[in-house]
Amino acid sequence: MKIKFQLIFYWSIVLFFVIVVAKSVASAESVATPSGTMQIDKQVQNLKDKIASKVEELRKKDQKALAGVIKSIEKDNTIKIVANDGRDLIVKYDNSLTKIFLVAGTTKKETQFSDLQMGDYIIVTGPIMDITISANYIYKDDQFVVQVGKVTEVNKTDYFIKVISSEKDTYTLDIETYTKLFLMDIKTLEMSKSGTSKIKEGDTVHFVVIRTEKEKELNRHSAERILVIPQEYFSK
Amino acid sequence: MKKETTVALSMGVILGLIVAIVMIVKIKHDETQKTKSITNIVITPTIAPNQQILSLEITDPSDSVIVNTNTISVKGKAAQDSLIVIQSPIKEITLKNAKTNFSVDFPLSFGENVIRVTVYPKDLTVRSQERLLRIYNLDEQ
Repeated sequence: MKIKFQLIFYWSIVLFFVIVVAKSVASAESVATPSGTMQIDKQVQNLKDKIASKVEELRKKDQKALAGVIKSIEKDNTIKIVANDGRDLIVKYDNSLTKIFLVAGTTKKETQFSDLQMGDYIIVTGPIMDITISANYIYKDDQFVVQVGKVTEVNKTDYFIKVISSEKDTYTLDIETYTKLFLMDIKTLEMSKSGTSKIKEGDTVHFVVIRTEKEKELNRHSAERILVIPQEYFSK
Repeated sequence: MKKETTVALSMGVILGLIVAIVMIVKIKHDETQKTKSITNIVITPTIAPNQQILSLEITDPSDSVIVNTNTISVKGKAAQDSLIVIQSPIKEITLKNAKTNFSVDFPLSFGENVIRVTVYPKDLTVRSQERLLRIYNLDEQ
């Protein structure tokens, strides 16, 4: 009796596996028909295209540029620059691949490698490996400094102010005729055009200057833009 | 094994466990007694609401990113009701953020755009915070 039960049990297991295998073979055959294969190929191709466009989108989104001042230009067409974060970087220029532009207002103008000089501020894009960039594009641009600080001296005769920045650097800003100077209303926060006469010691100023690396005096620049926040704003 | 041996072993184990538990409880009790005088003084520092200053965070755009557009949305988080000043070589904007999150459309010029975001919290005793971004508006086709 016991042996009979065992036999029945073993044969049930064998039968179960046979049924399962038969079913899976049958379903595989139905997929492997000509129309089924084409459908899969189309789906695979669609998926590949979607992945490729997503990768391209992410690549563009994550593209970054590096900028710095030219320290030296070597004979083998490499440029050594000091980046904004203080790192020394090497830019590799390729005669046939690299394009060089001069940033002129809202547009760019193509120029030559020979137009680059020591002290120029350049923006470089291209693949970066460690400290070396293989330049696809090089743009020669102005080096803008955007800072904020407290006014320590106002000279209304010679039209300059001295400012100590949040990084404890002292700047001398010459107020020129082209300097865009704004004063913030402490109540409405609206900005209005103003003159040097409205600036007082202790006021906070946000300013923009162009660094040329040829300044005669350290941190003395002509101011491009100044926004004055009166000290009364901070004592209300 | 004999029945008597098994009983003796079991009793020994049980007794041993009882002794161990009693010792552990006693030692713990003694320790709390020793440190009781120190823990008498309970310090519960309270943080006044105006000391909970949110750090300035710029969520978008990322620094040094390359774009091909004339405007960008500067998004971030700062303490509520702060004065936010955003300045670049072509524009400055001042605003007060009614909520923690802020978003401002800012113009870009061609080339490098150095954008400084400064936050002056409502609590004037708290230092201002700054973030510097360099956004590259380049037409690389």
